[in-house]
Amino acid sequence: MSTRKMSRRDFLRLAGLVGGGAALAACAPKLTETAVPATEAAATTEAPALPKKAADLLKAAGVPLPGSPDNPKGWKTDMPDVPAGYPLAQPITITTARPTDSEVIFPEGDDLDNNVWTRSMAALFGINFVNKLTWVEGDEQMQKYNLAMVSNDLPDIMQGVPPETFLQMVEADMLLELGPIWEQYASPKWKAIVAEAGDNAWRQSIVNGKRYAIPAAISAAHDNVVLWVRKDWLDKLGLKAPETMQDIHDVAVAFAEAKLGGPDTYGLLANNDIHYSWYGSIDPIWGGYGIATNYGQFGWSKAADGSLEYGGVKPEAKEVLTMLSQWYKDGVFRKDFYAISADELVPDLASGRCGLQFNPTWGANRDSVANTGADWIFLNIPAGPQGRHQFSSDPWLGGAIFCCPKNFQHAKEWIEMTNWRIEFEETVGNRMHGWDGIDYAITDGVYEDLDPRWDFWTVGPRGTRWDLVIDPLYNDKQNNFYLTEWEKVPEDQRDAFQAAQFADPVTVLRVKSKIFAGQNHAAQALFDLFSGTPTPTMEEVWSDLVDMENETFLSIIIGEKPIEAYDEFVANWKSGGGDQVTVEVNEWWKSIQ
Amino acid sequence: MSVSALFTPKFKAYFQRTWILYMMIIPTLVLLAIFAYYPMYGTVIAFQKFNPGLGFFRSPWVGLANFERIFNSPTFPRVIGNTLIIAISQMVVGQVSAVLLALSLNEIRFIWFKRFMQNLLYMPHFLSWVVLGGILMEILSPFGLVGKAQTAMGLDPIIFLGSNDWFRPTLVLTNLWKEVGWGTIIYLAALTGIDPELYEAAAIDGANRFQRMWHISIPSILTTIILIASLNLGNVLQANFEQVFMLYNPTVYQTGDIIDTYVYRMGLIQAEFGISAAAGLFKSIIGFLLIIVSYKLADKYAGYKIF
Amino acid sequence: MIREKDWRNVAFDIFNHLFVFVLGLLALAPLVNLLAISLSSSAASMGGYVTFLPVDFTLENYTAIIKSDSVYRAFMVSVQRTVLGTILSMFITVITAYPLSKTAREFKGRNVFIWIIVFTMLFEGGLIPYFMVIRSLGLLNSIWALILPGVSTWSIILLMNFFKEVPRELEEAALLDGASHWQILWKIFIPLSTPALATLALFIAVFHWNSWFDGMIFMTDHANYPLQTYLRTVVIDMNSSTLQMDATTVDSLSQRSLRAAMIFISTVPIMVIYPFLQRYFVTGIKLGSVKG
Repeated sequence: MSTRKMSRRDFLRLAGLVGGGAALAACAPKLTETAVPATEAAATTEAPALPKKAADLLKAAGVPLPGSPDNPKGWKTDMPDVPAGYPLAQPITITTARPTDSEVIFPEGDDLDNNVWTRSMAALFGINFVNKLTWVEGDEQMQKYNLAMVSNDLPDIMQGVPPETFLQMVEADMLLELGPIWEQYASPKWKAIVAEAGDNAWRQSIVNGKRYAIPAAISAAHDNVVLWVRKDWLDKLGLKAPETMQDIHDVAVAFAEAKLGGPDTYGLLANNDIHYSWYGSIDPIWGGYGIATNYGQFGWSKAADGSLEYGGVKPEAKEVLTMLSQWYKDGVFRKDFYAISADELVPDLASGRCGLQFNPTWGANRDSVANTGADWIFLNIPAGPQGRHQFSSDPWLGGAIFCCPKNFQHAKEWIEMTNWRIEFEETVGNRMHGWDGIDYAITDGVYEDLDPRWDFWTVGPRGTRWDLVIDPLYNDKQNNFYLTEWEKVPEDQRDAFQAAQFADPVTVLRVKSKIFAGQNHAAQALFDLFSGTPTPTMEEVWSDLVDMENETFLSIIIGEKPIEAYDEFVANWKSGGGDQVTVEVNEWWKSIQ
Repeated sequence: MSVSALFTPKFKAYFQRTWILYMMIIPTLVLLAIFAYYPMYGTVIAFQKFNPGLGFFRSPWVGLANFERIFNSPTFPRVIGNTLIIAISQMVVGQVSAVLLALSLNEIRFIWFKRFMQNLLYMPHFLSWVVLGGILMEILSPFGLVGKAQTAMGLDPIIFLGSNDWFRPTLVLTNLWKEVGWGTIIYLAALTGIDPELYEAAAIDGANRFQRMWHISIPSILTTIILIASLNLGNVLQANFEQVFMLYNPTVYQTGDIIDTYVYRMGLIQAEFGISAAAGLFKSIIGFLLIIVSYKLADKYAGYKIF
Repeated sequence: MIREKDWRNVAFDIFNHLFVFVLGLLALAPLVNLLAISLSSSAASMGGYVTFLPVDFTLENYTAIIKSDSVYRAFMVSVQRTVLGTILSMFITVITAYPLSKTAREFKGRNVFIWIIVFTMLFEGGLIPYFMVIRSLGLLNSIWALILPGVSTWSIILLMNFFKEVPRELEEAALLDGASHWQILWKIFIPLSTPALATLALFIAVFHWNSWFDGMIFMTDHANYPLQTYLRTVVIDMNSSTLQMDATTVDSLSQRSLRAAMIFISTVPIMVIYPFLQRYFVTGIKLGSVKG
């Protein structure tokens, strides 16, 4: 090959590469940046002193109204007036952090930062919301917050900051003292709700006597479990509904042996978190013995002398372990339950492999009804030895918290906006069910839930994710209203949404189970009473102690270790820092009495 | 060379010839300076109770306290043990299997079959552990392929990814599945370099196939084997982070938690940055020593100079 | 190869071929299983009825993926990153390996430079400082965070060794002709190294395509995730401490088929390109590692 030929070819090749690369870099799909949307420029420029009509503002901005007033089977959504001073003359941008989902569906051209909800907020308030951090699952959330702290680039509104990170942020003086601002601007309704929860609500938010965060509420009884049983199986075997722990055992064994769901049938749903988990929890079993649970560990409850003790080292735990290991031997549980995580259990229900479960509303599994003809009924959870029915619950207020960086200028606007949203979305009878064509569609008079999976989510405190609310009891009030009031409406006069509430027996079943759980809450809820930030010794040894506990308990249940291993565990736990932690926890407990 | 020597005509002439070579090196040096050397200052985190909000200058110093804590805790020594066990098992099993498979492939008579099989066997190497993790979680579940095979044979399905007894073997075997085909390339290359006359001479002397393999094939690739083993030694503390990270879960921390997963969890999840950095620093230093040792071994026994 | 006809050898041959055949099947089996699940209805796959053939054949999972914006976006991020990253890495590797392949006399300071490069393979500063550097350069959430740090030290070493093997006479003749080093590199060394370069390019491309950890750390916005990172969020179980499930979510969790389809789609590019390039890397490996 002559030199000349090579050089031209090579040059062309190189140029091609470089050119191609540059072209690619330039015209590749634009990566999403946290850019400010264009609506900022298009917002109205007046700042009248009178409250404005929400519907007018939306129409002026060309944003669709929620509800379907024009549809014969539709309804009208009532919106309260926007408070005086809004929309802001100078629109502002607030950055947020929130969970998202790999299955979220947006209409054409929309995304998480630009959708009918964000446009509505921009039109009504002059506030643009932009997401700075997003995550899909739990670990990612913690990682993103930690990294955001490292880069000193915090979103304006942060929800669910893990306690350790929250403490570090406070230490480094990175957070706004939200308490006083909230006191100043929150609406009376909001304040009343929080006041009802008492001091508990602020526990996680207070550091050194100052409130650096405001509490989030979860819908009451959202995660409270009931006992679900397959009535069709009970009937087939001629069994009556289980009421005690022993009943559960017997029914479960009977189900497993009869193999009513195929060769892999088993009795009671359980997963690798034997404490409290969101699917297939066994917390009522511990609760029946007075032991509180939490995600991945036990809870702290009051001992006879008023101090707090950790559930895992209470003497009753040994009783439960003995019972559970016997249950495992008898085949109550799935053979490999200790290796299965919560969401891996979903197919078990769906394909009809098990007949007993402790779950909130979603225990009425749609697929199992459709595929296997399951007839689920819900019952009260079984009683423990002293007749206690108890399940573990989160306090309705004060769990996840919302905090803001120190330089956040618009806390006032955010709180005032939330006040309005409480008025709007938490008043039963306003009929806010979403937007036509986005959240639902009415085809031939039939309501269809489009399930876009992002709903009219907003950014905290209300509704950052599904059921986060201000008033924990709101959803129950709403459901009660639906079931009682609308039932009175004659069927042919119901609009599409009303009809849909009764159309699907599974939905009705779920709603009823939720109301049932809510009614039981006051009597049966068992809380993990330690809600402070981790103590110094906890920071050092707690994860090791929890690891040890999980290992020991699981091994005992599945028979790998004898029950005596429990005593050894208790001794190791105490000497490995557990006693010290207990002391510190009780110091905290005394300090908040 | 003193500075004044830079201005001698001899140097000027040299520089005129070679200045472009220095230009060529510059991009790499700049990139390394920014992305590799500059971050090294962060090793100070290992000696602080680091709060990212306070940064390096305001976070309190704790001297060796972080190191004390990790070595006194039951977790970290266990983590080191896991790392070594997993890594060494993977390396030994991997290498032995690759050699055996290479020998086997070498004996295949039909070239098209050999090529086709090789292509199949190389393929898993190119899949990422995210993909493989997804596949494995499927297959190894009791209702997946493997589980059903076991039930069909009347055995209780074993929970591979949830059992401390089985997690490490699962790591080793799945890594083997992914890499054994790929690992044969080097050995096959070495095997094809063997002079056929050696085989013929041996056959004439009455040696059968196995004897020929044992006395000719294996010794000839021995250098290669040693080379690969030495190079692997330097990597022993890595223990295949991506694989473990994708497949592990809290129930198998006891046997499956390795240094890198511990570092990640302590740092980015539990916000214990100082602890995480201390563990990471420990690993870097030991790793550094191991690599030096491995390079020296590679040089001494296989005559392979890295540079 | 010596051919012997006695029964022992034939038996060995049969066994050997069978053995390799079975191994090959094992290499394929999980992928076939995955494909089958992805083409099955969700009821069938949830019940665990699918082995190697689809049950209740359906293409709905794939259509859902194709319609999904997020998968497409993640895919394009990966493509962009792989192409740009490979080009940049290769370019840097080539221009760095060339000077280093000269002897210490020809290129003074060579050994120092090599040590500077090798040292970074031995020692690293840790994730947090690295993250801070990326951030202070303003590269957070930008694709350049995934591309720029792409100095592949091992490819530099490999190519350097390869360049060393180029006969010196070629270079000397060119120098006498008045060619500059730059010209020598591009006109002599590169053309002679195409197998090695193709191999390295392939390895680097595969590395970029399969990377997921950096995407997870440096992309704050979910929408900017490369494909493997995105896939990981789909594959990994939801952490049990995630608050607030609701019934609709739970209903849709039994999406085994959809997950399988997503995983399968992300392997397609590799499996498609792979047969064409495999001859390169085989020769490349041999050239790069076995000496003499």
